[in-house]
Order: sequence, then C-alpha cells, then structure tokens
Amino acid sequence: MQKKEFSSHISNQLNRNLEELFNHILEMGGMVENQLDMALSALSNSDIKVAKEVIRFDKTINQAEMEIDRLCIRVLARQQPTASDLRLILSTIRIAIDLERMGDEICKLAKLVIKFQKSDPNVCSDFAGYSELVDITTRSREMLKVTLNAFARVSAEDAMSILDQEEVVDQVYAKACADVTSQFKKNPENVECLLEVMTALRASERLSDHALNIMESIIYLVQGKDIRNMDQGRLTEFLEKISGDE
Amino acid sequence: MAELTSFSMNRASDKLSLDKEKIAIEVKDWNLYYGSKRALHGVTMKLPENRVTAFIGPSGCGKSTLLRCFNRMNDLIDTVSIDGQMLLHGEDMYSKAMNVSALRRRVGMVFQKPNPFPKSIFENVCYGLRLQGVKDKQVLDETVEWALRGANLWGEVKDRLDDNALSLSGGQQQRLCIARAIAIKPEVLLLDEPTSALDPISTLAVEELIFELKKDFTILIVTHNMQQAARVSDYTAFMYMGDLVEYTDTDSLFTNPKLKQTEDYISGRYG
Repeated sequence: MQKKEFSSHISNQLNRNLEELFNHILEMGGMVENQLDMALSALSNSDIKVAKEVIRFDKTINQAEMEIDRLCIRVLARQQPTASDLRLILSTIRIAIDLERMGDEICKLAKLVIKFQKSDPNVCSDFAGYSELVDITTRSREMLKVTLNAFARVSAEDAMSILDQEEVVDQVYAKACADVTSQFKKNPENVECLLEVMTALRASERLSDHALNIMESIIYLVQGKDIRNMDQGRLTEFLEKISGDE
Repeated sequence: MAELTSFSMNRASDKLSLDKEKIAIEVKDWNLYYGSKRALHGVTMKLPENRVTAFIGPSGCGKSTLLRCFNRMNDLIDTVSIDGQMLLHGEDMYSKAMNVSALRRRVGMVFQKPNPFPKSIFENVCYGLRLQGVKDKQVLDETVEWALRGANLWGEVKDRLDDNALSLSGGQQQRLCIARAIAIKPEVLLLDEPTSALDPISTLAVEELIFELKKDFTILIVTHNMQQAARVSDYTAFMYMGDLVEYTDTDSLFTNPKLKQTEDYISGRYG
C-alpha cells in the first residue's frame, strides 16, 4: 500500500479529507516529538523554564487530537469510507489517542523536573534511576520517530525493530525500578523524591508502550490485521513475514 | 455478580464462513452467452441458506444476468445460451426434468420498480396462490395476512385490503411486491435493486424487512448501492466484466478485501 492510494478516489473531497487526516497525524506526531525533545532537554539540564513550556504545550496537543476526531467523524458520516480508507480512519483515531496520551506522560516528566528543582536543584540527577529515566525517554523518542516515519511511508517493515526496542525498554525499566526500590530502605529520607522518580520512570516506559501501540495501528492500516494481544510466537512470525513481503 | 472472565459482547470477530453454512444454491463453472458474447465467465460459488448474499459491481458486470439465472428468467431471452451447473438444494435447476414454473415458485423475484397488478391489495398478495388453485377463503385470508405481516405492511393496509394496490406509495408498493413474492413461500427470494426507485425512508423499511425475511428465506440481492450491500448482507460477491472477482463475508469484503480490484471499486478509486 502506498500513500498516494489515499488520493486516488474519484471523489476529490474524500481525497482532500484523507490527505488532511494524514497530514494532521504527522503534524501532531511532530508536536509530540518536539514536546519530548523539550522534556529530554529539561531532564538533562534540570531546566525548569523548558519544563513549564512542555506542560503548556500539552494543551495544543490535546486540541490537535480533538481536531482529528472531528475530521474522522465528518468523513465517517459524510463519505462512508470502506476498506483501507476505513482502516485509515480507525488507525488515525487510535494513533491520535496514543499521541495525546504520550503528551500526558511527557508532562509527568516535566513535572518531575519542576518538583526536583524546587526541592534541591543540585541533587535530582544523582538519584537512583535518573540516568535510566533519561535512557528510556531517549529510546522512546527514537521509537516515536521510527513509528511516525512508518506512518508517513504507510509501511510496517520497521515493526520488528519497535518490538525489539520495547523489550529493551522493559528491561531497563525493570532494572531501574529495582534500583530505586532498593534505595527506599537505604535512604528513607529520600522516599518522596524516589517516588517521584518511580512515577517518571513509569511515564517514560509508557511512552514506549504508546509508540508500540502506534505501530500496531500502522500494521492494521497496512495489513488489515489486528495484532493486539497476539502471542509472542505468532506475532514474531507475522512481523517477519510482512517485513519480507514489503 | 458477573464473573470477571465473562465476556457478554457479541463477538464481531466471529466471522461468518461459507464452510459452516448450509448451502441453498451451488453454482459450478457457470457461463452465459448473449449470442456470441460471453456475459458470465465460469462463475463458481455456493450461496448459503437463510443468509443475505449481495451482488455488487459496475453496470454491465453480469450481476443481474446471474441473478436472473437463479429462476431461469434468462430462458425468456432467445439469444441466451448457458453452460455449467446450477443446483438448488442439490437439484439441477437446468435439467430437462425441472419444471420451470415449479422452480419459479421455489425461487421468487422482486424487481427494481414496484410492479403491483392493477387489482386490490388482497388480490395482489394471493395472486400466486390462486394460480396454484388455492380456493379456500380461510387459507387465502391467513396467507395474505401472514405475507403482509412478513413484508411489514399489514399495519398500514389491514383496513383497506380491497383498495387498488396502485393507490399505495412507492415504498408500500415494493413491500406489497415482496409480500406477493413470499406468499407462495419460496425457498429463495431474488431482489434486483429492490430499493433503487424508493425514497430513503422506504429504503430503510425494505432493508429492515430483508433482515427479518432471512430467517425464513435465502435472499440474493443485486444492488448498486454499496452501503446498502454493507448494511443488509451477510456475504458479498463483487463482479466485474462477467467474472466473480471476490466473494466472501461482507465484513471482510468491506474492511479488508483481498484483491486490489475489489478495494478500488468499493472505495471509489479509479482502478
């Protein structure tokens, strides 16, 4: 399947609407990428100003999701899309939801920076789990980039790499959680800060989950196959097959 | 309290499958020629019992031609010749032993334009029964009521059964024609664009009726309206230039067709 197929209908109105939807998702994806870059910068530099900007920016992302919903409803009600057009609408709705939730998780990272900065500007990056937090967030950022590229190309060939990355993130997350938990007993005076780190770690891990969800939506769009909850063996087999086909 | 594991939703993922269906009509390598022009190309398909099967495709693709084969309407056209096999519940519909009138009683048909006879509503519905020689007033009364109820028209006409059928609205006339067709209790009902001459509300009434009727009849419908095919049918056959291109359950055909040709047609692409 190629992107140009969404512009090859007899109805130019449908062509325009689908093209618009496509561009809206890419634009919204770009906004979340920017927001994530800013959050990473805030985390790395303990920059409270940038962190506040990240939180402010979330409203714009929420509005983008609503705009995409409105356009999807209009196309469904007025043009009754079928086949890959219908799958595009459904995938678009799902992807917009995941992007919006990514925005919420990114805000949690920004809030961590603000809270740490208020308590003690110099110690936040020394806490257990903090470097893993930056690591997971950076990996999630890369996953988001790959998925958005996959959407732009209407291709599911990178799905396997997203799945692999998600597993790595899960491992780093598990290790980071263990490190932070062990600090609870060693440094009970820091429990409040450690809990904040745990919350942020969870948020960064969720970012990778959403990136994986987006890839699942792209696979549904391209292949017409719903791979959610598919067992690992069948999933790997399926992804290898489609990677070979494309 | 409901168990946590219970799942009460109807499973949309439980797809229909022809392999699990009882088959009403089986078509094997069916060809039809208008003179030397081949209009149907080796059509092979199984049409399931008590289901609605829709035939879609552009004008001239052969869908109406195929539909007319199911009750041998094409016999009436001199230049038509056929080969292949068509079985109704295992019985060869084109064998020499087959009585064509009897076949048409078993396979009723409703056409694009409502065509009630210029007679009373009552006489329209019991016309087929009278042809069969039924004279018992009680049987006629009961059948007329049953057929009109089945066609979802009884409530609207029960007090005016002696009125001329031509006084009914277009939508009512078409439902009357459906009542006339089902009054003789056919096994299969053929609908050739049954709503193309109707307004949207009458169309919905007929579509609802089709959904109800499939409990008792096997329904084959030709329609130009793809949304209608998507709404009313269990299975859909896409035809193009005399070929049966893709034939599968309606959910699959309209969400994830296997062939690009089908995809292009149903999604309105240039193809």
